[in-house]
Amino acid sequence: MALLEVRDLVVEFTLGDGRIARVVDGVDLDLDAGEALGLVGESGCGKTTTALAIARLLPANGRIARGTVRLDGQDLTALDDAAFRDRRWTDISVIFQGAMNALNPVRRVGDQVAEPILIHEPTTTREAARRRVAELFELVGISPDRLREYPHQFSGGMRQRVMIAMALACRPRLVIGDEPTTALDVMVQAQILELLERLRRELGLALILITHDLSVVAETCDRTLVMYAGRLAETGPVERLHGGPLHPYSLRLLRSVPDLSGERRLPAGIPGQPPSPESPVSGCRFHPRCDRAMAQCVTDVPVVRSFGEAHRVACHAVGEEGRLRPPGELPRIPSALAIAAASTSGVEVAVDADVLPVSADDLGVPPGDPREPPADRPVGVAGPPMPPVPPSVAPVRTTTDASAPTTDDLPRVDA
Amino acid sequence: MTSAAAAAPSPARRHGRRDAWTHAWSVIRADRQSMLGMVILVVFAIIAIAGPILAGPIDRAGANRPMLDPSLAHLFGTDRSGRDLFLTNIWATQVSLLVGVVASILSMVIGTAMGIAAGYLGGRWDAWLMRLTDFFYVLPTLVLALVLAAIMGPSLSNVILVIAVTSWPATARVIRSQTLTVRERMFVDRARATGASSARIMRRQVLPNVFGLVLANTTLTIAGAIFLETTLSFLGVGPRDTYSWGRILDESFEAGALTLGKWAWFVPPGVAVVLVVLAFTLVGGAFDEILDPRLRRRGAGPGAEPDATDPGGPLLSIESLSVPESLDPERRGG
Amino acid sequence: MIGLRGLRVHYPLRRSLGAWLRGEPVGVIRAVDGVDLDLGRGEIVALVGESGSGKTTTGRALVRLAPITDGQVLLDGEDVTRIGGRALRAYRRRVQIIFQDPYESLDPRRTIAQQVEEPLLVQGLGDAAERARRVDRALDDAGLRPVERYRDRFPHELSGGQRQRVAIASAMVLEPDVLVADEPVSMLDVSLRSGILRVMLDLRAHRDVAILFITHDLSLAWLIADRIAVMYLGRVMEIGPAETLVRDPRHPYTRALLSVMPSPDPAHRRERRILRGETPDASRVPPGCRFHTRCPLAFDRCRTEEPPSVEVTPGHVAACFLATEPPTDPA
Repeated sequence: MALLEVRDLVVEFTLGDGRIARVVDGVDLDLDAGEALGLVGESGCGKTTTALAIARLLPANGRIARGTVRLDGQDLTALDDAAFRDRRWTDISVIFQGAMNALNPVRRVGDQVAEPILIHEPTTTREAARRRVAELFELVGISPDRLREYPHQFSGGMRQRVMIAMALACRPRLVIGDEPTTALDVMVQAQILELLERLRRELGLALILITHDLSVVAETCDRTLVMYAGRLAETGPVERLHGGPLHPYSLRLLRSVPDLSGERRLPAGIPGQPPSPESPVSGCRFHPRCDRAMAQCVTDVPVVRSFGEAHRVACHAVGEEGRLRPPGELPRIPSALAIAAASTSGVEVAVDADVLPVSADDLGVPPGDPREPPADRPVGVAGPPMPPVPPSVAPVRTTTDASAPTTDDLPRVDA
Repeated sequence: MTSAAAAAPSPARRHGRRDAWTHAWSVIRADRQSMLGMVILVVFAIIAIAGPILAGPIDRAGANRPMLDPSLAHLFGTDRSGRDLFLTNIWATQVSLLVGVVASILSMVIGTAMGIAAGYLGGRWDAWLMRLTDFFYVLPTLVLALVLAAIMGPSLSNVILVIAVTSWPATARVIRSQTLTVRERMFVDRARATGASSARIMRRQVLPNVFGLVLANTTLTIAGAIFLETTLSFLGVGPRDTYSWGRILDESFEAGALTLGKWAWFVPPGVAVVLVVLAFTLVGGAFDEILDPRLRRRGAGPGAEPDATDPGGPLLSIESLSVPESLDPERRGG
Repeated sequence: MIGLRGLRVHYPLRRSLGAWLRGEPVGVIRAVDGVDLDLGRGEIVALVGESGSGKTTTGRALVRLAPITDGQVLLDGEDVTRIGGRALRAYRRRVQIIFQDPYESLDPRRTIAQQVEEPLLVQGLGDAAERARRVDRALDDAGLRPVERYRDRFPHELSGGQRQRVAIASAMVLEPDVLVADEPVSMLDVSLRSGILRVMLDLRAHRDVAILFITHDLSLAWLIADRIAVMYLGRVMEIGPAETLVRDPRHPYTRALLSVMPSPDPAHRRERRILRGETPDASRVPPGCRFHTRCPLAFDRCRTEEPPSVEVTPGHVAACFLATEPPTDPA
């Protein structure tokens, strides 16, 4: 049985004006003991929210609206706050983003690391706690002589080690690292990642590493989970997903990362930005930015399908044989129909909400790109030519009094 | 700086300015407290401006019968020399507000200039300007005001000056600390990199970014100034040539209005002071929000968010949509 | 065209009261400690280093935002190290900078057009119509199209990538000859970086601007730059053509940096040479070769003698005694 089993997780935030934004929308996630999972996506894709929901650390206006989070088979969402607080840090701990600034500047680091121990194991004497902190310091590579120093006497990398020591204080089985190396130099990042890997081996820790950097995942994780706009796009073993990504989003993310061992040319990047959770996109949420978008992508939410060992992907352009079909093989959308589809599916909403449409460069069109902007662009479309974007995003409003189930209500298949 | 710098604003910007007023109004209207403050201020402003014009001079309108109780003819009664107290209060409104506003503006100008200069220029400038500020800061305001008023004579302009001179240091300190944080912002560096002089950066980069604080502070300073003027007048060093709320209070106490039970003599000016001070404080809080463009245009303008989050709304009604490839002659390559 | 000669930027260290009472000497932070660097017209040079290497200070000294302790800044052979007032303002018309944080480097209270116009006002260039034209062109060059859509917006209404484009526009509106770009993409999502880098390449191609691209990311430097200079503790350790430096690094520090660059392809997991410890404090620069405390190859001479800059091949210079020897360390 998996150590952590997340099923159909839905996290919603209540906005200032009372509206509800669905930031995580039906995510499944499994993690075995001692396994490392990389959770990736652009900023605003819901990866941090997913992790915070697992650790039940959502801000006051956020809540788990649906789904289960099982640790060793026990549903954590069913626990009340007090019961969960006992589990946090003893079972799940978190290394926060920008952790170097999460230390209290006027308290000794040793005392801060000892705090979770004293809270969760009230029988521990101060002396025992201190000994344990000294051991933890040694474990993360800090001299125990520095227990009595203050945070400002530590460098950024050392403070991050302190935070890791704090996360390990109560011997958790699952550690969630939220961008634990983002603000660090490459050399220090390498040191920290090496440390996490060693701890994983020695302590049998399960690790969820949240990062926007696919290369970090490639170097440290067993599996990758790519999220887009609150949904799972693709997940699979690192070798498989990085070697042959099936989802166009994973593919383009991977192609955005410069690779010193590859060819020296500017990566393509990904046009546009992820949609805001306040104004979701119909069908596949990636379709406005996807070069493989078909009519089906505008209307139908792609179900998650399995291909081989733990490799799962949600994309219409992946054939039954488990291959991402190139754009040329895919049926295109006739423009008139696409516009009708867009206007009835609420897609114009997404375009308007993207207050500032992407510029041509964001679209990854190199100068002198042979692709011409489509000639059949509807009249009155403001904005730069958006070649790789399907015509479905044309901001045409028609008042269609359609009443149908929302895309969110469409059946979802768990692979 | 170049004269070209003062070029006429583009139509778009003028449009933006009108937006700003609309926005300011919407912020105030949305907040019940500042709305209440605004209503009180408007009422007093109307009294201050229109009252004396409609009512005419105090002396001639008086009844020349001293110490009358309130009646329909004399709403607040009359004082020892037979002046109509209702009229006197109307005139006093004008004077008190004038003193408060003018003294505060003066004080804000001095304080803001000192604060920005000390904070932005730093080093020796900071040390000397702040030493000067501290000097004025630690002087007991009331004593200084009493001494200055005594030396310069109890005229209206002197009282304004006294209040301005004693109230700017607080502003200077607040503005300086805000300037210190603004100075570290990258856009100040960027301005320096474009070749802008210190004077220009202080005016164009720093001032707009501390202005919300200046305004919020002004409303508080006005309240304080009105209070100080009242106190000074009450102590007998206020302007002698006109009536203010403080002077009415002063005279009422001198005449023993409290023991005589002549409440209509001292209650109206007292209530007026409290109301105006309260109103300025209430409005002050709204200023920061008004001046911050990040809080502007929420839910308005071209970038308005559509109401798409309602999960019950019709999002999609396409069934069995088929897409024959032949209909799409212009394929987009990817 | 623009060059640095023996540039030094030292800051006095603030003494604690105790240190003052004990009569300890005033310490010095040697942020930049003898940097020579040249940029030709239309050339992109990347300055790579970790935090504390002095790369940002070097860039700021180049635009005369950091106080220069010693050395020279030369523009077209003319010494501009000590100029001030009118001459400095003219210098800044030719040498511009963009900063790392696209959220911080724009004034939140002013519209995009106002921000981009500001340098023209400061420099007193053109009448209103001319300025508007130049603002539009700068925005267009930075890829903010159509321009009308962006002019009257405020920074908070833009995405990070768009803000960085505004920052580029407001630097390029003066049509400078040199642009210092201080970590221009490090705060952006990887998917957006290419767009910004492409703008810079286009500017170089069309405006012939020389760019000093400051970054901590060797792979970015390698992508965009003609030449790469690797800095450590205030000094350039190695400089050379981008491809040469990445394929045939001669300084042990460059080699270590390259070995820890993560690759998105798990098939490329190679042995990482992780340096132990941390970069020493810039107020306590080690004697001899400043890298010797962390160098896996250090020997006695490195601890006492500063290694000379050795030209390995034309244009490829490394400051290491072993620069011309074949790599001796394993792997």
